[in-house]
Amino acid sequence: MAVERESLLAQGAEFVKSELLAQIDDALQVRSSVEIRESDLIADSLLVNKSVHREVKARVRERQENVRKLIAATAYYVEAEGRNAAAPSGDLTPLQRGRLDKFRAAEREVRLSFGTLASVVEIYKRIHLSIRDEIERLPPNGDRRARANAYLKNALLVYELSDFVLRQLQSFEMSGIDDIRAIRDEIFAEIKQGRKADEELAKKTRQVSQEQAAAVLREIDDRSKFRAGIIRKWDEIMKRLDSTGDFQDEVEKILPGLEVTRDNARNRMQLLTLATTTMLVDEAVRSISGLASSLPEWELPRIDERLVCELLNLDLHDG
Amino acid sequence: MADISKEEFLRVGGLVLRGQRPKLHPGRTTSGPARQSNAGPREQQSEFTGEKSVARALGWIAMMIGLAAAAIYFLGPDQGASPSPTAAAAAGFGSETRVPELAGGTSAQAAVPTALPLPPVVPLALEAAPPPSSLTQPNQAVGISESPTLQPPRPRGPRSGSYAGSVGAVREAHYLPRQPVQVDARSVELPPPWQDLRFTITQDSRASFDARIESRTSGELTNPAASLKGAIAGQLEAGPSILPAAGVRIVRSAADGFVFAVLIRHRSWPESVAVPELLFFEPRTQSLRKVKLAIQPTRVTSRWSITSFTHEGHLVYRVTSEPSEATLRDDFYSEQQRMAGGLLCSIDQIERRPAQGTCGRLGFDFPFEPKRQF
Repeated sequence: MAVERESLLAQGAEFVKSELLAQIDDALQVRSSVEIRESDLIADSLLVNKSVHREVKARVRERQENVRKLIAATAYYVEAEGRNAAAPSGDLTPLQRGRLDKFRAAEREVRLSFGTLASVVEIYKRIHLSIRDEIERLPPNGDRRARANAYLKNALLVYELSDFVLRQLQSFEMSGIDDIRAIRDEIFAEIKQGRKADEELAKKTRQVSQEQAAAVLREIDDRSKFRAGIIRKWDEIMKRLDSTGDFQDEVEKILPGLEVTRDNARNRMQLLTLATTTMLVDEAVRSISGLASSLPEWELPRIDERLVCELLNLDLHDG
Repeated sequence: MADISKEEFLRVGGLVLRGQRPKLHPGRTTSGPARQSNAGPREQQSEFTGEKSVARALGWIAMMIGLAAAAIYFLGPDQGASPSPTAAAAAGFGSETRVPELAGGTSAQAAVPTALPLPPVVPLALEAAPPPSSLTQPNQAVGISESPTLQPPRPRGPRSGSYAGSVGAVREAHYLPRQPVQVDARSVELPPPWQDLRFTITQDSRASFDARIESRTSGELTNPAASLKGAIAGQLEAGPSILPAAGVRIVRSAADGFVFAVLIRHRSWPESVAVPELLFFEPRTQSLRKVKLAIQPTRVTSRWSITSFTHEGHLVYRVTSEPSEATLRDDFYSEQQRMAGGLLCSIDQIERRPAQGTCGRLGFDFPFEPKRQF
């Protein structure tokens, strides 16, 4: 499964990179027909430049939209790979089925949200590493114009990628967790109600024979332990889901670095050297590699069918 | 590397962004209620190409009406509400009743309302979708699209206008036709890639109406709210007169109709100019009127521009020349406040971003309860 995830991320990164490169090629073509500074070849500037043909602008928008789609698809594929293949089974009442479906839907939302964030981070890192490799492979004594173009292209790629990732991260919202919390609260409310009912029942046992009271109290004790087990499991799950918040906090910390990398790339577009481009990429990789390498620590818990049933207090018979 | 084509990635990504759960290509499986994608090749197009005709603009507006109507149905305050814990427990789903080794307990008696309620039964319109060119009646034009009198917003004195209906301060804008524009809601047809979606407005009495959105090919949508959001986002980015990244939202619904807000920019205007508009649609008479200018950007041009709507009635704006906050407030509070008829109530979260200029949010005090944004 990990191999498949790696493979999907690699493919997603490749597609995103190709889309950005196509966008950059369009931008570089604009340079041949429109009087424009290199630093204005970035998508944002092209889109507001009145001299740029609207078809070019439409293509730029389409490329940007495609990048969004590719990121979303990567996250979706990764999420689908990690999904528990076992379909809910058993003889469930409509209420149980509804609750199970709600939980499943919320869990998928969480996974997809988190997967999107993780994919963005991973793809960013992978593309930057590939840019660095390409720069290092450039022949040192090659054609100067070709080299200058290659550096410009790479700087544009650094800029566009950093800009895209920045926007993604700034606008990111984790969804699904609140829905799971709502389900937990629902379960907890039922547990509380059941506990109260048992307390009242325990009081009534004072009026019955010692033998019957002992049997009933034993059952009440069993139920109490069972409830404690459910609460414990929920606590474990919520603790792990809440750790995605820590990841978001970590993401917040890298935003200023990304912003500097992006702006640095723009400012250096007109004065490019191999050294500065390499440095740019190194800075970018450093700013995010720690986060990317720690992604597995935030891996979401596997919630299999059995665990879902325990959490939802469902009596599920295989069938 | 995984063996999936880029086209497949784009198809899947497009559907995911629209809130759907597409089926993955053969060889990959998904569990759960993955729906068969209804996306065709055209769904991957994001460009809105061709000449921008009046008819197309009207088609867009008609689509907005459909979206707005659908949103009321799906995003109404009662939709999707979870049953209260006590209600669920009272229904017999006490946790103790599910312990298998223990005797006793009752079985669940009540079902969680997972499905959305069906709309009222009397169909008004919208099953068949004739071409957008049939939208208009002679001598009628919708001012926000291609009216020849349409001009970029500019400073003006207090406007006179007619107030009408129960929507609150309804008045026509200076560049809109005096007569309410008739829009035939039956002609709601979405351009690619949203042509698969169908809107149905139903009305069970003169005082109430409802609407629903569904896929022509696969029936009920798995996540209609997200689909709407995706559809609107796609249209806004591709549309001829709408600022990219702008939002649209229902700001009020009532028995007689609903109001939706949209950020509008005519193609002849400077790129930094956009006007948030409140439009009122009355299904019974099928009329569309402009309600009230949320803000009249009299000094737009190079100083600032509105970039999008956000939650709770805010607009996000961007300032390109980075004036001081005092200047901004002066801009908005002196002229804008006067022109906006007191709607603007706050400026907050101003921050300077090196690449984007100064960003912040404008708060608007709508004279009615905003509904959920999508």
